[in-house]
Amino acid sequence: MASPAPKNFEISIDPSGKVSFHSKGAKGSACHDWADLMVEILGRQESRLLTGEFYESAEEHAKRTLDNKTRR
Amino acid sequence: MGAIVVITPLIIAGWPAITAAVTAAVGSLGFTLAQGAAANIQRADTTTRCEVDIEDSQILESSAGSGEELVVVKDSIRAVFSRDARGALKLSLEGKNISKAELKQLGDELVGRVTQQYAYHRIITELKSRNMAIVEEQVQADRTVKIQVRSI
Repeated sequence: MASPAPKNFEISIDPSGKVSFHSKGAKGSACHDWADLMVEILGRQESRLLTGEFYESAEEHAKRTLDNKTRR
Repeated sequence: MGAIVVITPLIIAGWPAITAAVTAAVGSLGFTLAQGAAANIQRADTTTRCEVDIEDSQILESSAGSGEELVVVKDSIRAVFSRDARGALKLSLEGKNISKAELKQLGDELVGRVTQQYAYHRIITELKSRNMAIVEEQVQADRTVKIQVRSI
């Protein structure tokens, strides 16, 4: 599997061995890419929670940036 | 923000990787690796035994066969990691003056720490191979390991 788009994330491994993967700054499907990779290398997914940023696609982000520049 | 995914690791590894994970993990619970005579405890009527099956595991058979085992000891408690007939990792414990419930709890903790070490090494190896930088690593008071990662 190729490396997904580069992003920041946090990984917690509790004393029972359970792993929590939290992607930060990844938008849209980029969130899933690293999460899928972690599941693939480690084992079985127990749960997946999508946070607000997931729904903010890269396209929306770019549009907002452009709007802000236009206002200045 | 983005996505939060919870994963239960499956231990799929050869015996050398298991040995490394056990060696790194057991010290945090006061166990030490034992070899030779030190690996045996004197059995008595008060010796309690229990076994912990690690279902989410598969030990890849090495050329040396399936007779590998790893013994760790703490006071009068002896714990043996081995590969069972199905190829899964198994932990057998025995100890003196300890209840079966206490022994089982200790066994679960040992398995948890070994799984934690296995997951840690698997993650670090994978991230390095993908040119990701470990920005920060912390071991919290409850022994949770937190790793901050960023692309280089």
